[in-house]
Amino acid sequence: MTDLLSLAAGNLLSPMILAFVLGAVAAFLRSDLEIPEGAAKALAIYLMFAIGFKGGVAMHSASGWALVGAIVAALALSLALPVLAFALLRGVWRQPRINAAAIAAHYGSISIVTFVTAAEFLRSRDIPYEGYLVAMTAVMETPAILIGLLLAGRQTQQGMQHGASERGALVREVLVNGSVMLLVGGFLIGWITGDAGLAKIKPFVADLFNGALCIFLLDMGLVAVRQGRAAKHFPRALILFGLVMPPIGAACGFLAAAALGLSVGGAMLLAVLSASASYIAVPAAMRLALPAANPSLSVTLALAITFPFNVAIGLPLYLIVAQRLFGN
Amino acid sequence: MAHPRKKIEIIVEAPLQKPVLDWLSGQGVKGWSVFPRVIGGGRHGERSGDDITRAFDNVMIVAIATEAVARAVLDGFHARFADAVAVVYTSDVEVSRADRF
Repeated sequence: MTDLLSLAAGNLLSPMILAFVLGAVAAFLRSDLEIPEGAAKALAIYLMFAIGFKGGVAMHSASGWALVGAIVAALALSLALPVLAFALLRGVWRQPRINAAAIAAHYGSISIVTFVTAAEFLRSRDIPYEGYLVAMTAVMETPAILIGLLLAGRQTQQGMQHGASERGALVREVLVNGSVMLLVGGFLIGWITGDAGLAKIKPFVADLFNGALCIFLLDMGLVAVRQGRAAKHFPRALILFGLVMPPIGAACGFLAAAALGLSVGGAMLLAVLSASASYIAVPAAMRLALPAANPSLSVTLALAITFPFNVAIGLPLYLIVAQRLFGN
Repeated sequence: MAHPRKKIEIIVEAPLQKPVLDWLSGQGVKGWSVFPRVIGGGRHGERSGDDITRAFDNVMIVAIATEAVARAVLDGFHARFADAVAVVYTSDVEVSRADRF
């Protein structure tokens, strides 16, 4: 318990998390502070490329076979997590099928910002992790969109039935989504060029990383609070789902980590991936796939409840559990 | 010389931009312009134009067409995009080159 409290305090007092708090306070006080959309996008591109690249560099000296197992495990998690979330939302929270399916798709996907923050949380404590975790991130980004569609069943909606352009847009979203391209591309470039490649761009991808993450998290603080405020008719009972689902997802992540034989850092990151919910790739895809679902439910849950929970409480919690389960 | 035509304006959620444009082409609309990040408010709350999720951004599509095409768009839009967050309306305009619209 003391370990958890000191880790949690250390996490909360890091510049990154304090920047998130600053954004949240600014939005709470209705400040006009905003990060221009173009700047936020550029920061997101930078963070994804840098994390992909560094993961690839770590893979340079590792066996490619480990990557195969990791990808299979990532696909299995992408299948299991939305089904689990859907069962809980239907059985315990009594949500209509269409909303349960849309929310489940968000929780089956992942939040790259949470992953990046967790990776930095580990790096600042000198805890290594397997480079192919980045590849798992890319693999887990979009399959949940399809699972969400299947879970919605026949309510898949007239938009999909006679909309070839919706189907085309969705297929593109699943296969060549910008985040996936950046993560996979950065990963491959890092894998091919290795340490020699890293030496060439280290000041950019490594030294500047934390500062960029601070500004991005500041924006996330603004966005999370503004989203929470915008959702006026959000059912209070669902807040509990946003807090309960992350630890359940993390438990699934630990199971997969045990099967893969991951290190403490790797297990913690896989738990973070499984605990996080998407708010960048999935919401727009769900508007195409399940337009009858209420987007403010899923986005508020993922962005205003689960994301802050994971970065503030989840990171130290998952690390403590990983140390107990996977430490020597 | 001025020729009467109809201006079609559609304010619609950003994720549906491509499907709506494809559908407009199918209805006989020959050209269009899109204004991204349209800020506004209404039954679905406020749209700030800088949404990180893209799910809550609006765009405005403007097209000019003959009265028959505009009527087909107006009559058919909500049947085709039943659950879309959208406002569709037309108005009278005049154009100088009739063959373009």
